[in-house]
Amino acid sequence: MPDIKSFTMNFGPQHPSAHGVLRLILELEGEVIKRADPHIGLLHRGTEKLAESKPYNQSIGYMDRLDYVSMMSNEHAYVLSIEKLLDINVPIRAKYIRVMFDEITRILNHLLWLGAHALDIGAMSVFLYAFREREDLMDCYEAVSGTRMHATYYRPGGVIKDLPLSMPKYEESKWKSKKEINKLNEAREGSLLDFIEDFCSRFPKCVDEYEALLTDNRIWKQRTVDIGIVSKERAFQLGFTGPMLRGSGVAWDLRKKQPYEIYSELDFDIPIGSNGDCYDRYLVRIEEMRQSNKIIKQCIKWLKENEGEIISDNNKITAPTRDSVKEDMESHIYHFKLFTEGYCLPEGEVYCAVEHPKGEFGITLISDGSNKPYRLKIRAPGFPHLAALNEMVRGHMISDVVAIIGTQDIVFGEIDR
Amino acid sequence: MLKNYIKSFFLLELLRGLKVTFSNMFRKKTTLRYPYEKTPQSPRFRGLHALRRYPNGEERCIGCKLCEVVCPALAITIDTEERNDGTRRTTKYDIDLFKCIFCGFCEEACPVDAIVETRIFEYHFEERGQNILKKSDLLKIGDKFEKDIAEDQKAKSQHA
Amino acid sequence: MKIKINNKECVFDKGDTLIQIADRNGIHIPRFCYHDKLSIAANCRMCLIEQAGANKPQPACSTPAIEDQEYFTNSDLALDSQKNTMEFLLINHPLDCPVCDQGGMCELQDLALMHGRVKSRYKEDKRVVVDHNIGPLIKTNMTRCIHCTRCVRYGEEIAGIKEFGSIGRGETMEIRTYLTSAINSPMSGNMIDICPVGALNASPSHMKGRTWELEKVKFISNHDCVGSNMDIHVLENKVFRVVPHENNKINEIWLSDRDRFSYEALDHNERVKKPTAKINGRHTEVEWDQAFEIIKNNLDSINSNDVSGLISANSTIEEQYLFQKWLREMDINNIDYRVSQNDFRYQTEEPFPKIDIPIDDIENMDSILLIDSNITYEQPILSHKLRKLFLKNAKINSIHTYNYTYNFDLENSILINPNFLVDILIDFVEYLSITSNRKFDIPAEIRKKFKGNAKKSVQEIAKNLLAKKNSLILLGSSLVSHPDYQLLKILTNMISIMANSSKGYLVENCNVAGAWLTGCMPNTTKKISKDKNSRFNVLEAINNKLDSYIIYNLEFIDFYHYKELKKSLDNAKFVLGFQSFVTEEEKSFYDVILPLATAFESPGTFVNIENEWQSFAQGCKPYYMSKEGWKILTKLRLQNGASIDNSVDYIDVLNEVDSVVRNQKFNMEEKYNNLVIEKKLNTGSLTRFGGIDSYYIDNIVRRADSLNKVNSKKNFISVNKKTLEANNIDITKNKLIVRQNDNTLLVELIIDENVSDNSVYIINSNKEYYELGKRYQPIKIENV
Repeated sequence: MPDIKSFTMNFGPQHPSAHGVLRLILELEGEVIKRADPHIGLLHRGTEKLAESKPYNQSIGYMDRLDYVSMMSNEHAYVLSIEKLLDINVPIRAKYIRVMFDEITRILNHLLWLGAHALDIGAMSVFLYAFREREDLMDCYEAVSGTRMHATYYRPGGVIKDLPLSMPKYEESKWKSKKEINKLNEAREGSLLDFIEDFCSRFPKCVDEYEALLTDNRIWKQRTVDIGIVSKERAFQLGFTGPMLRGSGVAWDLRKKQPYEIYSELDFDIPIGSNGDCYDRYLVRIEEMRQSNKIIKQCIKWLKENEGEIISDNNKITAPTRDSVKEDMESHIYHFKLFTEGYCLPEGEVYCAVEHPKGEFGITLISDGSNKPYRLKIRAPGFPHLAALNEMVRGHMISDVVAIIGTQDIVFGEIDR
Repeated sequence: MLKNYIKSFFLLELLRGLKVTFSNMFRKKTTLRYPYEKTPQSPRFRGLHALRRYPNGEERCIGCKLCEVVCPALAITIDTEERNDGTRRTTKYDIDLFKCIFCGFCEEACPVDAIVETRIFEYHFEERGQNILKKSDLLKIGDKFEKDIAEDQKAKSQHA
Repeated sequence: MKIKINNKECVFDKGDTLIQIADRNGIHIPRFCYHDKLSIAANCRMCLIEQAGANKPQPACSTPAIEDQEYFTNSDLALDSQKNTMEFLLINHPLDCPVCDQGGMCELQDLALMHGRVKSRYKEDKRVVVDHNIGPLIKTNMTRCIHCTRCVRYGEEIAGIKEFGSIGRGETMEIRTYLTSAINSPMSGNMIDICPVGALNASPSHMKGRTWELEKVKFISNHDCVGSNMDIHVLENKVFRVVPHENNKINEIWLSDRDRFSYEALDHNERVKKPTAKINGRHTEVEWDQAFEIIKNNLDSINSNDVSGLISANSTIEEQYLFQKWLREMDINNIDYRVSQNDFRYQTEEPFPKIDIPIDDIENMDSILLIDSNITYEQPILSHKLRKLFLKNAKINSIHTYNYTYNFDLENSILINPNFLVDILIDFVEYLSITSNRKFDIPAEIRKKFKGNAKKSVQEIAKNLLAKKNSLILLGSSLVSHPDYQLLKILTNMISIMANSSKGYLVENCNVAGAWLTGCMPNTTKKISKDKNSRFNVLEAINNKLDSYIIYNLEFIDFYHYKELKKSLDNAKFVLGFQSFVTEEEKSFYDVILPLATAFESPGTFVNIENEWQSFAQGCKPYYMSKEGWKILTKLRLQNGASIDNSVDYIDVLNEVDSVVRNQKFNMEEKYNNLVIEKKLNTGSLTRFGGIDSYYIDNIVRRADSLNKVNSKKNFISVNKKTLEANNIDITKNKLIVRQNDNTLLVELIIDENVSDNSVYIINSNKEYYELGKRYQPIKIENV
């Protein structure tokens, strides 16, 4: 009998469904996957090592670039770990702002995931609709930080700027009548909070639309139901977190289990799946978007009612205001020292994690008492997920690989770091 | 049970989805005719850099190098010298736009509001080396857009 | 005795202040005015701490500890007092950090960050103080001053500057020179270091870089024989500034201005940038390989006995060792380093240039005799040690040819014409031979010179030396060029033996001991060279008009026989220079010039006067195309077929030098065979004397801009009134003509009673003086 060898195939790193630069070595028997070997490292930038050579604040911008579809959540874990080691108080308003933007980020991330996942499997229009909503959220990012993606907005001690009181508006052009412009600007007449509020009121309907397109769709179901099943036990063993874990039926969410910031005061639910297949994870994420929307609404309400500081007034850690830098010697010195040397963290080790859209995003920070981290270790949620890819795809067809990569919500910025 | 068969047979869920896509044909387009139309832009936008001057024409930058030291990407290079009137000015102020990550720290660090990030985001290079903005380029940008920059600075300081 | 600070038990001696105890126990207390090398002023009030039970906070710097008391540096009261003090200090401080050189290493910033309030409550206008020019080395910005008075106390206590102090009270208080004059001290630069704020900054590096851009490398001073430790701060491969490196055995935390500011010369326009060779009579830049080939071809064609190698005593010991090795491998044995020396009698027994006691031991002396030493300007660090002695009431005596300005007072001093320096030392020997109980076999030649009538002042000084247990005799470094230098050394040695004193022969260069050890002399120990023939020393090499000269890191004016050297070089077939700097004029004498890295740009070792080996790493890469000396010399040896591993690096060279040279037996017995006590210096007429300006002593210092601005008056001579009258000089005019042989020079006249009779005091600070003639030679003065 002739010796039949399995066929080995290279998937990526230039494959459009590889979500960036994933390279998979697939061993096939016919069309059935025997083994999948993910190759990583093509987007390695040495963020952890880089951070060791810079004062703490200067690495905030690099955190954005880890998981580049949920920028502020990454920052959040980093600033939280610094705050924990410094043991400083963050003003309550800053906490609300951060939570609000974390949830905006979650929606941003899930929208991108939804669009890309659907596109991979063959549904074109979801992508377009998801990006329509993302545009509004990007505008929120821009309004508050000045950039649409890499915000560098959170700082140890709070956030760098308060929420703007007005939104930029569309300008008249020969392509749009005044009426049309006014319509476009309707939501932009008030402050950023009004704008987000408007979005929140619109958004559940948008989610309904996505669901109308996908949830009951037989093609969608055929492609996702019973694909990539991970049992509850296995999900634990594989180190899954976030929607991947909740999809398998574990009600684990850091926002509930170890509440940080003001999550303990907010009202929201944790959706969980039952089968642990791609379809369950899809449902979990869809529901998470609705829950995020709910959280944002609560934040807006609080933020509208309460004024306050947005960053700690401990100017040894946080930059003094620009006006005081020009008038006040103390502020002047603090400003100078903060921007040249930064601040020193007490000696020690700290681990801080946030419920990132993708799972548990954690930062381990070891300080030797100087102004730079002695060691920074990033726990990227995508990494254990990708490590389980082999197990999840084994026995499935090639076309299911795409669905499983999609359901894992892989972003290589955080995996390769 | 029967309901499900009917649903399935008549492709109801697919039709529901098609309704969404079909109705979108009659909605207003969300896209814009760039570059004739543009999306709104925040005054906090962090785009191309510029060096500003005081209203009397004197450059603001005093060569303190705070922006150079705070730049996480090491994109800024500064050389300074003492001028005859005893003040320090830069002789070289280069920003490498390939290195810059547009984090805005330079603007935050500047004690005299000299280096700012403007709203400009549409620019291109035609030759190697143009990615490095020289002091003269930066001042030129600053001079050209001073009015806008001043407005944006004001808006930023008032959280508007 | 014990106290508790922050609940930590601390042991102390009676009289210790709290800040001292805290410092010893690693407890931080903020301070501005307190400095452990200076007296206590207690005027900044930053160090307030709480004493248990007392209702007011106490200044830790001036409060002596009381037994069994408890103190708190971090209690609310202490922290509050510190915060309030800080707020007051910052009220009038200008918002200058971005333009201030101190920014980033400023004690005010650091303490404001650690102990200050977050915001000021003071909104009124700030005070502005007018700056006064206090010289080319220190840039003042007195608006930034916080009146800690560290600089004033440094001036009074350490440097001996009396003209710097505080004027006014309260808001109008100002730190300044009493008259609007520059500070004249060879140690003034240390004020910059001790100033806790940016009020006093180094002028040469003013506004040229920021503190965080600098890299620090430890270095050893290369301008005097003390070997001060310093750190060079490098910015983009250029030396940016120099600051002292603490070494309590040598320079403590101080540094002389010469060491601090000499780096400015490194990119002087006279720097040799590329190897050059004379091709068809013109100097052309060549490649290194080409230069090496020319050198080999030329040296091969010349008889090795007709070549002389002359090396600077400012070069590192590795360079000196490799230099003599390279030459001796080519059988060239006419090697010397003593280019400024004039007296080569008894050269076979050239004593090791050394001070008998460690430098930090000078502080334990009770009696000092200086022999014609301008120590305050020539070796400022040693002078600082003497000042400390003086403040402890030790007696300092001096025999000198000019009443030098010291930063201490003299007990007895004898002003003498340089012609009679030998005679007066013989008087000492004579007096001591009678009074000392330590008998010494005085050679008959010296006994013959005894006159039997020692002066009263000689007796006083000798008695003083005898009476004190620890005494030290220092022979001044400018005497190296004295025609009777060897005699002076012999006599000093005799005096030291009979007076039971230690002695030290001070020298001008930083590595004379290294040159001696590595055998850069015609006659040296067997360990270095087995050559038994008599070889030429520098004087003979010049006088014999050899075919070839190899000059390493020396300028012509470094030679005592400046003019003769030029003539000999003119006649020579092949002149090779290893130079960092060369003037246009000197260039024409050379056939090949190799660009040499200065000590700043090369790793190396200096052996100081106490035989302490101090190695340093490379501060920055060599400027331009120059190369480190040890590399050039190794390459030359390789070219000659020496068996050297190709991968040799600096550490290998240092190890080799160490193993060959370090454990040599010094010829310290100083038995003088064939002793001829015959004075060579006996002009019988008006004599020119005077050392080299302390900012003109070597090729680096000479080119340091700011240092050379310190003494702006360059063309002058000093003569006393009596001498002027004897020579019929019209003293109403302030100009006169000096004449040596056929050379004349129009100079400014300063009538100066610090000069001895019948002599003309010239500080050699200018090339014109070298063109005029040599030191210790007859001179004529004429009316214009």
